[in-house]
Amino acid sequence: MRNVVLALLLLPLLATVQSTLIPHTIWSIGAKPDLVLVAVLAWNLASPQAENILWALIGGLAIDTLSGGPMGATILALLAATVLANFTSERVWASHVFLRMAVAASGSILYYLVYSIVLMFSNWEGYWGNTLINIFLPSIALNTILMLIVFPTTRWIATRISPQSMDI
Amino acid sequence: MPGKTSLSRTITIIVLAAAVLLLTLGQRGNLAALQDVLSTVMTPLQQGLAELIPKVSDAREIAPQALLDRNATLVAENTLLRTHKVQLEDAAAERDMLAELLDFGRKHHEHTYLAAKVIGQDPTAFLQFIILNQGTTAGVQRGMPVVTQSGLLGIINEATPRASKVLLVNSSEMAVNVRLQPSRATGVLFGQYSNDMSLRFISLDVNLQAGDIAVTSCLGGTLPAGIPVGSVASVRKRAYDVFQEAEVIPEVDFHSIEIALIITDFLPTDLSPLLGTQEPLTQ
Repeated sequence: MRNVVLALLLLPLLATVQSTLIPHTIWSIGAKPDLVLVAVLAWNLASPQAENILWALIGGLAIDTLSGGPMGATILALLAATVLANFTSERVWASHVFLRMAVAASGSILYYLVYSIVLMFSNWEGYWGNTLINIFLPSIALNTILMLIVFPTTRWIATRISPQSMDI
Repeated sequence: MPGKTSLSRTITIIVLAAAVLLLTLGQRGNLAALQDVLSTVMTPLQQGLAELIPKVSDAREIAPQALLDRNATLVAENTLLRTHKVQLEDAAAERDMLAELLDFGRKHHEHTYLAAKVIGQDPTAFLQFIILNQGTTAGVQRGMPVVTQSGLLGIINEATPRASKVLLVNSSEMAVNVRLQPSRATGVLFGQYSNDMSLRFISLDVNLQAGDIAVTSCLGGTLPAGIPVGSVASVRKRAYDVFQEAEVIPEVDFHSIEIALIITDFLPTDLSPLLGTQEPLTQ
């Protein structure tokens, strides 16, 4: 339950930072890191618990409130990425650095893919060629790098507020 | 752990159902109340963070100097003076911006304007929206045009009590009827995900040249006439085409907008009742 409270406090703040402060930093145009996506992926890797799926709902609602896109689109995209991270976090090699990078990259791809599909089904026009080059690829790279920076802190927090249980 | 897997599956299905429900209700336009509630929570947070933006820029500028200078007194004094300098520069820049906006208002005095501060941009990397700190309580409504001192910025796509979202003119969702100066020819400007826009449906016999200015026309009834939108950068004209096309650079720099003006006395005309084909009256 404590990780849901953390999500309620953290994810709206990250969504607001993503909307308000990030555009004024070096990422003034085009690609920018998805703070909410990276936080959700990192938390699901660091603390694999069933209720972590609610992070997708909370983070998605926060992003969709500030976005002009259809309400629910980010929830679906984050849900897909969360399920992927949750699945991989239970593997034996979950703590390996390459797995974190792989989850960040594949989670980002899945997130953008699902979001794009929802946009297409919601009759949003898109220049997908431009978007792929200018947005998807740089954002995936940024998210992967950010994951490497964020994960140790996330794991440190996770071990303190939400220690993992083990069945014997 | 079958229990955990089962719980995980249940929560996944619930979240999935919630997302689909929200998408469905959103398509039908039934989410206004929920969006208002969520926006009421998020907007103060966003406004608070927006106030930090100049301070973040100051900190970036000051940090290297502070590291180089070892004298604590001088560093403190230097920092204070620099902060004052940045604040003065910021105030001067804001004054210049407001003067330009006022000048725009005087030139286009036929409209009523509401000044609004930009407090955010679309958090997703896909969509071109900005968020303004004025909403329905200040009289903002969906469809109202938004301008800067340079020209058309976009239109209000969604308004909550304390904030509104502007769909930018370079968004791929936007198509603006324009008239070209000096030729007076009409065409349609389409946004695309890049810094330029695509001008289409210009007749081949029009002498279109780089530097021509595109301003809004009354066609379609969605925007007031005469607002600058962009200038022609290059023209593509081929003898076998039906129309010529051009790349247009927007007048507005979308990455440095701080304050915008909402035209509050203009609402788009609903032409749909006139668009149905009816039998001509016969005697």
